[in-house]
Amino acid sequence: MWHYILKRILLTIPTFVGIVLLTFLLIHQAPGSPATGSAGGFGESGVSAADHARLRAQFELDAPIIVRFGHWMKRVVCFDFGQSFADGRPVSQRIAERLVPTLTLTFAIIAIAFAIVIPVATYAATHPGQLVDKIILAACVGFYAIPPYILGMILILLVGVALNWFPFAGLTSDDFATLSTWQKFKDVISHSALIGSCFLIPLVAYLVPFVRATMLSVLKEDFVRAAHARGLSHRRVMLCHVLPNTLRPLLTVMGLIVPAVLGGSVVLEVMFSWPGMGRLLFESIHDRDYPVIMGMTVLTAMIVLGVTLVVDLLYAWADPRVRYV
Amino acid sequence: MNSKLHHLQIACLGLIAGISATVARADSPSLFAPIPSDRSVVDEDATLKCRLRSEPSSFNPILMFTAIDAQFEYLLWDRPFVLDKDLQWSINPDVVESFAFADDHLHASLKLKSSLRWQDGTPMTAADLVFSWQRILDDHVIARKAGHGTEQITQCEAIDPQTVRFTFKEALATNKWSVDFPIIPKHVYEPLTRDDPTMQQSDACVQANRNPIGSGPYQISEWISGERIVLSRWEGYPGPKPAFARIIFRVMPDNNAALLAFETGEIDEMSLAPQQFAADTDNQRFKDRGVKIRGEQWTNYYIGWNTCGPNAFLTEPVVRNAIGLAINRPLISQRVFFGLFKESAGFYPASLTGRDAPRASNQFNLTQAAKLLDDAGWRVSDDDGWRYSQSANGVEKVRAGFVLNLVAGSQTSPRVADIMRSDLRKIGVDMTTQTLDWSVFNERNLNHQFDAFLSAWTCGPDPDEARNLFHSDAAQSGRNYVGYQNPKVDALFERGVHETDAAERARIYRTIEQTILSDEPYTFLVEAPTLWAFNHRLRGVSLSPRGPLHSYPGVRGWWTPKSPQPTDDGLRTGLPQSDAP
Repeated sequence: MWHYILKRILLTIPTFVGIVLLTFLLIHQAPGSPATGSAGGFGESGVSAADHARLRAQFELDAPIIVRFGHWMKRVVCFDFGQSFADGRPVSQRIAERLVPTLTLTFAIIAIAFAIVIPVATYAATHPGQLVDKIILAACVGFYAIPPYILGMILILLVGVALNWFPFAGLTSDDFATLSTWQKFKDVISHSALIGSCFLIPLVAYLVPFVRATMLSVLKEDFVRAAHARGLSHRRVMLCHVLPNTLRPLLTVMGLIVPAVLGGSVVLEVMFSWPGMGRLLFESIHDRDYPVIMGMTVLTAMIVLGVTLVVDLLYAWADPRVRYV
Repeated sequence: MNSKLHHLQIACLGLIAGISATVARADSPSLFAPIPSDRSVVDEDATLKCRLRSEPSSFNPILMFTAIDAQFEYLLWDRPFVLDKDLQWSINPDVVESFAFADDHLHASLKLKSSLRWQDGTPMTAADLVFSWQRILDDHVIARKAGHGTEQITQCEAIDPQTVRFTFKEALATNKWSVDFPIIPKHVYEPLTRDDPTMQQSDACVQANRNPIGSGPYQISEWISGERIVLSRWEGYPGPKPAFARIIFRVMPDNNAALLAFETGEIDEMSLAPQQFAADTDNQRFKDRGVKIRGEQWTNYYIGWNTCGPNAFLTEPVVRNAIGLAINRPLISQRVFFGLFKESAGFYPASLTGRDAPRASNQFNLTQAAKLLDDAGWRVSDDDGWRYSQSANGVEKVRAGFVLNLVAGSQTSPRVADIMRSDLRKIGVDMTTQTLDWSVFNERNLNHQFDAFLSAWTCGPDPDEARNLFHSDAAQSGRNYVGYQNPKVDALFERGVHETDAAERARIYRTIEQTILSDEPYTFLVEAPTLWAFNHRLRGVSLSPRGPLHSYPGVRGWWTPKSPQPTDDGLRTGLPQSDAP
């Protein structure tokens, strides 16, 4: 096992370097530059050729790309991602500001999704073909078919504006700093409710049919019939035999969901004025803020590779038949 | 039939919007009511909630350059000279004791008020002003906006703690703009610039720029990245006390979400897109919350033609004139901008040059356009209907056509291009479009790697600022992206900047404008107005040709009354209601 872990970690190193190198080359070779990426001002204050040249010099864009990559790698090894071209602040600080709400939202969504998916899918799988099962499946197809931005607009108009149940802009209230800890918690929850729903609803709609189908096939397995034949209660059969075997394939799906949700959604984050990772990446690409783009690439690559490794290891833990060598 | 009906609908919508805007100005006197001298009626504990499209790049006024940055400038910083609501150069009486040019116009003397203070209590003196001028001129500092014109000052010396004497290179009419630069605190920035002369790379400078010790009536009290910036009133401000205790700037990139936030009272003001002004605000929720206003703005949408590029079709003025005639500006105004935008009559506002009525040749005329192209040797081919001309070698045929670059994300540009493409096709000119993101679009312009581009330009308060677009010197180092070169225009700019008689100056710039319109390196399409929504509790708003935020006193002059106002003052009704039968 330890041998396998070590081998996997060693394998991630060239993968990680490959991702980073490719991204670095792509963004630096793409047309446009940070010197022209910033939004212009009034008539007399746009980017002139002279300013452009000075900005290029300041951002060290005139050096050969290999030299730039060398400088960047040297800093990254010391955990220094450099400074943002947009506002001069450390990249790590800019990313951390956005990572905290995004991470919180991601794990909250995944936890809530599982809390909904498992009972609903279990009910549907144990009552196949019945009216409730059909309604659940139809609802899942319907919700999964709605594009997230349409769902966002519906939620804003209906829940945010018409019913005025939840705020639809930002992460916190203006008086957030003066609130007690409990009030702060409630404030963040209420601000996250609508955007969180936009991530949550399609995720649940995707997972319920998946888990239901897996569970249906598990229910037909010989070991389930054998468990029933041995006189085990239905509850025990479901909890000890069916559910673990159903959730195992879900681990693989988890490995795909986490990076997708963590990366955020530019459209939803812009719509809800949500200060998340998706918007930061979009703004950084728009401004050609290379240090921030690279910082986010490193972070995302590490998370994706890390989650993949953890999922693989969990698979071995969850399924005794799997052996790693 | 449907098409006709559609045009009629658009025309009616435009007419209604036009009337509405006029009504708004007349029926909303309270919105423009200046702050009363009796402050007991003013709610001085109120909070103003403004909308930000994106975050500012810096609060250091020397480094500020975007329109977003400029929203904060007059709130955080005091300046000796300001732009009033008519964008006229004005002496700030709260900062300046006296200012005078010498008779030779080569010197000027400025005396600051002795009561001026930085927000940490340190007196603001002439030394701060001299230090700021030195920083702006420092090659390490990229002062894209603040540096405009300061190179004309050869000497800036502190005569005493309050007095500064300026010496100029030449006696220019624009010297009054050259002295209009921001002042930063020397005691804060001098130690920092020893380590970081750029003022924006070291951690200490970045912190100083994000949490500035300013001189204006507001201080930064909170900046939550990506979400909001909160300004609090500096109670020690020596000048007139502004009405709002707090100003919250909410970062809301999406226009539609911002409008909903306005309607639910989350923000008190926002600029409106043409569709929002004409259609999306015609509901009771909006009318209950606020009023919408249209005002003049010195912004023109234009097509820039690469006059020195490889596309032979665009190098001749007569061809550009022909394309200009083939652009249906009235249809663009009606169909794309809901009739809210006027056809461009030129690029200078009439108040700067006293311009006459628009040229007749500006009018849409496909027959005339086709004739001009025929006369210029660009003939329609019987084979495919496109126009062709012989190339320099006399054998190869060159098709009349060009690629129009558009900025990605614009909702209106593709629709303008569609109208142009349709009409140009009728006269045998092949127009295609290329959508580029802002950075690439700018880079192509800087490198003159384009045929044509669609963009907008806001005229500065002095007509000489257009030199940066039209003077041949600006083709390599300025913003003359189209590579326009005309010795006559260059000479006129030189005369204009040296001329001190206002009437003669206006005449010179009028000639420049006429010459450029004739050569047509740019085809000006429509004039964009400023379209804005305000909460009905707001008062003291003034609309400048740069909108309500970018002139003095701007937001400083806004206020709200203590008690709710009666609804019959025209504010609660909003515009659409004013037009209702």
